[in-house]
Amino acid sequence: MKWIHAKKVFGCLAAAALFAVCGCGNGSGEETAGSGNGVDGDYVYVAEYKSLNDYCDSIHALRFGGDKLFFAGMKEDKDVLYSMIVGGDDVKEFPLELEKGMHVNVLGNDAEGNLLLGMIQYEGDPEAGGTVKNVVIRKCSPEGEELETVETGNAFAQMDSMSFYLSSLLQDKEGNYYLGSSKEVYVLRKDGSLYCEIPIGQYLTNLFAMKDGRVVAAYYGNNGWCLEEVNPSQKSLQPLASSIVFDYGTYQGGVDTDLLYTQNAILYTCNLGDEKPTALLNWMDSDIDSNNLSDFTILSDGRIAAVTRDYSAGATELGILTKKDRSEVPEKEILTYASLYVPYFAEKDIVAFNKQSDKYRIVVKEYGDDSMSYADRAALLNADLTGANPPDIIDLEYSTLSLEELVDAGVVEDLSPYLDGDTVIKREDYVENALRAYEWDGKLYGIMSCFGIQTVVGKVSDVGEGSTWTVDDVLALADSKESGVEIFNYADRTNVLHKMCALNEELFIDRENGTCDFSKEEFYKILEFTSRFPQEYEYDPNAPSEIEKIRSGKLLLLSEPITAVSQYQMYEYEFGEPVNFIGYPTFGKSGLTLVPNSTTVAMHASSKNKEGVWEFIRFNLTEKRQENMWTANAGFPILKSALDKVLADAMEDEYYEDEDGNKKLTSKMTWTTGDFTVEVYAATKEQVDRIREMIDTAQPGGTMEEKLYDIIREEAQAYFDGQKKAEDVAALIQNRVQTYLDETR
Amino acid sequence: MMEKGKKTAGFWRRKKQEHPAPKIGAGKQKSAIQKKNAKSRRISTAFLAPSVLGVLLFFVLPFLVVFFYAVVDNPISHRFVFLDNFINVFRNAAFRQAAYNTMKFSVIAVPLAVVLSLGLAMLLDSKIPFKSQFRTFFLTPMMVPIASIVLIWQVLFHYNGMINDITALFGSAKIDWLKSDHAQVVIIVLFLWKNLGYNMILFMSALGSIPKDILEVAVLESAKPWQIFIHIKIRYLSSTILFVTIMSLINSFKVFREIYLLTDDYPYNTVYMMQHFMNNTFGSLDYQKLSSAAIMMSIVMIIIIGILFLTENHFGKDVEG
Repeated sequence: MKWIHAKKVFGCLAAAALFAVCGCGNGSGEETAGSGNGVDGDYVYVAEYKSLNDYCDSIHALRFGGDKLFFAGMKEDKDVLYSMIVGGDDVKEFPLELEKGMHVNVLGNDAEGNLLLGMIQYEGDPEAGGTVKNVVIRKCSPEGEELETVETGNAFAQMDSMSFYLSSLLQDKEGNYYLGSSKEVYVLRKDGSLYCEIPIGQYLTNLFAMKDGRVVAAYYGNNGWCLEEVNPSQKSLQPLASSIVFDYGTYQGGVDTDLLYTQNAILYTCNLGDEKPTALLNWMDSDIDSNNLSDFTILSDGRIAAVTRDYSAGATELGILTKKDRSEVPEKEILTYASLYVPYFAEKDIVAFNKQSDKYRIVVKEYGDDSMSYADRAALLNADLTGANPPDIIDLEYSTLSLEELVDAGVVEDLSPYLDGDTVIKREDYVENALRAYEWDGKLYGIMSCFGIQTVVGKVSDVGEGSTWTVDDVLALADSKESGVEIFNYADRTNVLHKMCALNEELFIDRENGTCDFSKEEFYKILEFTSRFPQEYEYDPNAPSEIEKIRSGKLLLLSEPITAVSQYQMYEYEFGEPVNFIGYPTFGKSGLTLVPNSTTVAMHASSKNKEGVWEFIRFNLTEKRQENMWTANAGFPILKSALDKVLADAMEDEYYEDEDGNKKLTSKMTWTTGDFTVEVYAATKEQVDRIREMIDTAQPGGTMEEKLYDIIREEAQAYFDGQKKAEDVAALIQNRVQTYLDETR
Repeated sequence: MMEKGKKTAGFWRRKKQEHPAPKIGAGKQKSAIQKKNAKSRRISTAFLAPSVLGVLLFFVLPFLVVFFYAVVDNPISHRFVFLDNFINVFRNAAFRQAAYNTMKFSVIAVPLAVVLSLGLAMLLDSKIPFKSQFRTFFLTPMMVPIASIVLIWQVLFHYNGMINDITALFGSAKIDWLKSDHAQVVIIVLFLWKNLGYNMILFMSALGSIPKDILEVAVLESAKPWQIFIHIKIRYLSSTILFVTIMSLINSFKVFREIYLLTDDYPYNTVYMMQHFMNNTFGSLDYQKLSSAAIMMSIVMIIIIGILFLTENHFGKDVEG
């Protein structure tokens, strides 16, 4: 009898132990599909999509008005306004008779629901040195009937086409027009004369009217996100009073509430007096990339309509979202994507994957929220990685553990068999350096889809034409200049020491044998070099701009990631002479590092759906995706053929047809840095060859484990403070790092 | 009176034996007693159940989980590797360093904590002035939050701290107390400062419970103070010494908290303790090393505490109470 009892007790214990070993539940993170972020998990908004590109050649502006969508664009070189009832097939076309060189720049609404067209007429190439000739506002009824046209006269004439454009347009109850441009809000009287100009000092994101008619400016200020009421009589902006904390997002007036806005991929609605906003939906659940949202509204029947514009693919889509019980939606196999934060490029890739896959659906699980410390969030993620219901996909960009730790814990799956066994993609088609970034012990655990090259750029007359240089070279350069000259931009001891230690780690640390030696001259040199930088970089809003500092010789080098060939021209413009991407100073090897600039994930070794995870990884590596994604992600594609295409395109001239039909050379793109704008034209073969050379010689990684670096930083501080000699500091680092290395063996 | 009482009792017992209770209704009575006993057992079980469940859930079960992780290759694939993890951990230089430091610290700090607190208790047990004030003084560290203790120690022993300022007055060079071979001395001083007061109170209480008549007899028999201490006080204090030793031993393992707050994850190697090893391996999801080290440490603890119990039994077996 006693034995039976003992067996029962042991059985219960064993069951409980199994339960504990396997983990119990996974309430640690917030999944986008479900109850996370306050969105009602019982329902989901299912989207139907409609491409707007079918109606015209290009779309310049769009706007919802009630249950209608208006959009203006070009069709066969003519300006056309379109009106469609959302959800219906009937699209009305209203040809716009505009003066030569005038185009619709923005659409807006007045207080009665009429449509406003903001139109600008430029002189010359609007993308290169053109000026504003005229700005006209035209008011139309919702049926497309022209009600009035307001000329603004000389209010904006001769303004630079690069700094003046219309981002928002609306009219208040008094009849005043509000125009949002780059860093200003302009208020015009009903007759089009200028009432006032209110400078913001920052780039305006949006202007909108709340349901009570108040006009609000939304922008990202020096101290965070700002929603401020525009007060024309006082020519000022006054912050809106609310207990809700608003952050970076897309804001507009609500239909029945004060605000309707998107923040962190969630659509919220609220009144300013509310304690907290109401979360309506997560755009990702409806396969909509919130980064691409142009406009959205709640329709009279409760459905939600949104227009997204993917500039890299040139696609504009209308999505109509209908609320449905989750059980009504066809089930797909769920893949969980685990991360502390979801980068914008991951959201883009996940939405694109979900939209095209009939079999799989990726659900993001974001661990913790902004109220939690990084350590607490990391603990939640780590617990899940070894729990019973681990995520399928692990974001390596925001991983709390190093690749070595993930591999040692058996958490990540070797991707080599998947890559080598794939029938669509081939290992040899991808840039080797980039593939090596997530290799460990000959196995492949992660693949980046786009990358950048972290480097140091300087004038050829300063840094020479070589491909590497040493710490002594940099110090000699700095010493040859007058005192007070900055070596790197935005540099302080923390980031310089980290970069130098990470780049030269193998000089001091022998991972294979688990030993280290910091008593080397090279390490003393790094300490000496780092001590030349300020302890902490202090941002001075009144300091000269970066370009002014460079041109006046107050700043020698820029530490930047290179993600496009066009950066060559931007830096040549900044430095005012030929430049060399020479990289960080090292002790013989290349000082360029290859860094991921895209969704970079690993497959969980316990994933129940490894084929699905590989499908997602492969999706981002396919030719079609690689050839289109680089622009959006601002990096070089990892697929060699796509990279070749990018580099070849960079050397191609671009033309436009002027008013007389003559083919004229135009800039390929525009780089803006501070107040300076650079027109980028086709790159030279030499520039492209140098980029290729950089890609070939860059080392993957360039980062150091946080714990290791913390030890070095802590001990090096005594040297920077002049309290200890480099040898003493090196001995202490040696002692502590050795313990770390011993522990990880 | 005593004799009479005894006789009376003896007579009553005999009477009971001569006239056993009648057997009529004995079955019913037995059944009632059994029912009462069963009810009593159920009540006891009900009262005990939360504690038993708590122990199973929070002590036995985690230990089983730890044991499981100690014999598998990693927390994901769960492949049985028997003693491989133990062998790996035993060969690990960081583990050996941690074990050596922890043992060295305990070997030095625990006896010091017992002896010094016993000495203080004896001192305060004697007739000295300001006893109450001294007692309060030694108990003060118990009232100071750990964060404040660490702050005080940093102010004292930092490279730019007060101790170096004072020694500089005498022309001494600065010593990096917490990042040199002196680090363990600093930690031992911190440990004693924090624990002496509590141990002292325990010893004072035990000293107060030694029967006064025995001590008076010893004095009357012309026993010397050291003889009284060795042959009477130590024997009566043996269980308290054991308790204080175990508590100090446990506290010596818990000194990691202070070291961690003073010197972070990876301190100078002389103050790198077992709990550093376990804490860091937990942070890097290396549950195999963590579990193997924990089991090895538990075995050592069991052996040490077993030896302490045997010693206590040996010295205190003839003492009542």
